[in-house]
Amino acid sequence: MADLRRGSNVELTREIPGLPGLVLGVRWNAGQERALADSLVIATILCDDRGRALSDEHFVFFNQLAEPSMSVEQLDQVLGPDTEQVEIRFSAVPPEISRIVVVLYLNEGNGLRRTLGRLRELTVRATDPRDQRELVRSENLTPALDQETALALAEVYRHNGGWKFKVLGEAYLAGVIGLAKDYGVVS
Amino acid sequence: MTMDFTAPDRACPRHDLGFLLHRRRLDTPVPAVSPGLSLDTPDDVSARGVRTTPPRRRGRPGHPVVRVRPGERTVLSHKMPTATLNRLQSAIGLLTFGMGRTGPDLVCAYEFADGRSGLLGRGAVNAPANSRTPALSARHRSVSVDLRQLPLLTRLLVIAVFPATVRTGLLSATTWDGGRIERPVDQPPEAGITALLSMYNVDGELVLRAESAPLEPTPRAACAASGFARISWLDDFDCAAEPVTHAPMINANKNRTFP
Repeated sequence: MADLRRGSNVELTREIPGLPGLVLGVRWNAGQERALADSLVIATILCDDRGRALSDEHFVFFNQLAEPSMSVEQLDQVLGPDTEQVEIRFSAVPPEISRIVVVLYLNEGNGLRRTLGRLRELTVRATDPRDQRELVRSENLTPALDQETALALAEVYRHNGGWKFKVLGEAYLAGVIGLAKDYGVVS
Repeated sequence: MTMDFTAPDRACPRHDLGFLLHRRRLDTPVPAVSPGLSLDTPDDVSARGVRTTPPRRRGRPGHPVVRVRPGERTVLSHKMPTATLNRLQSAIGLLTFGMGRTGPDLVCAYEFADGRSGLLGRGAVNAPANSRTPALSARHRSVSVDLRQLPLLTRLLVIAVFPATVRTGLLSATTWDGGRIERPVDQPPEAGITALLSMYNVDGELVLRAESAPLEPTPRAACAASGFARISWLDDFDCAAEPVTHAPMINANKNRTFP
């Protein structure tokens, strides 16, 4: 399957009937910028039909590895070439959740200011949790990045009783704060 | 003693076997209607002095859990010494404790999950030392925690070094979502060193507590007064940089003085 470009989507559960869920894998290459790689954080936001997070418990990341219904879980151990992985079980997703957005942000740490524009490669892909078969992969998202410090990578959303996968690639200059405001994590 | 197993009701009582004795029934009849579970019932003591409803429970000892709300100010005081950050506030961004321009200098004692502990400030400013992404940094009147490194941190103690000329100040920190924690400082007019605030990583949530320890003459004494007893001290003012390699490191710190 060709790499999906920003804005492209695919109807996964129609293409693969019986698909129980997904493993979303994010892979990045920061070259020699190891401090940049150390400061990157993957998070998953579970949103209602207005695109707003249900609560701060629906923000899954390294300090909150699952949300209350356990339908989305950030994996401790990664299989394959991904840097980070998030597993979604479709049957466990509460009905009030309409879309699940995977984001990447730079944690503002001590030292020099860093940006996502320094990344050499950044892709997101979806695999079948039953056999780790790759279903779909995004294009390299770094060419469009410059001074941004947060990025909405992709979303999985309900559509006609099934689930679709879409590559977003929406970048934020305001970092995780701008991203969190957009998705209603903070008011 | 003969035993007749065919007529147990005529057997002699065995006073030597206590577990065979039955407790006598109380003569008090059980009330037909339960008085209910309302704690407001004034007549929950019967005429015989037997309480028929559970005693009213008093509040649990200690202080209530106070959450730091986004965009709001939380002041730590003697009446409300602790506040807790949620999992997002505890792990997003940089949490910097600052005293302002006129406040005392800050140092901090820390303990990491791998058992390492030490003191930062006035020279050695990053921990872990030589890390490309240090979890802690101390610069004169501020101490910063890189919350991406939260799993590494077990606890932290923010310590103020008061010269005789500084008595008051405000230790504050702001979370990524605008929650502000304040710890007012009002010391007696004398030089000394004391812990202002401690921070504990409790299963991914940071709990902050205003400390109210007396002034001490050295950082070592201030740390000991707040339970930081596992630091390897070179002298009363400095601890060993990590890892401890050899004894001559002591000489590098011999001219360091605190007010």
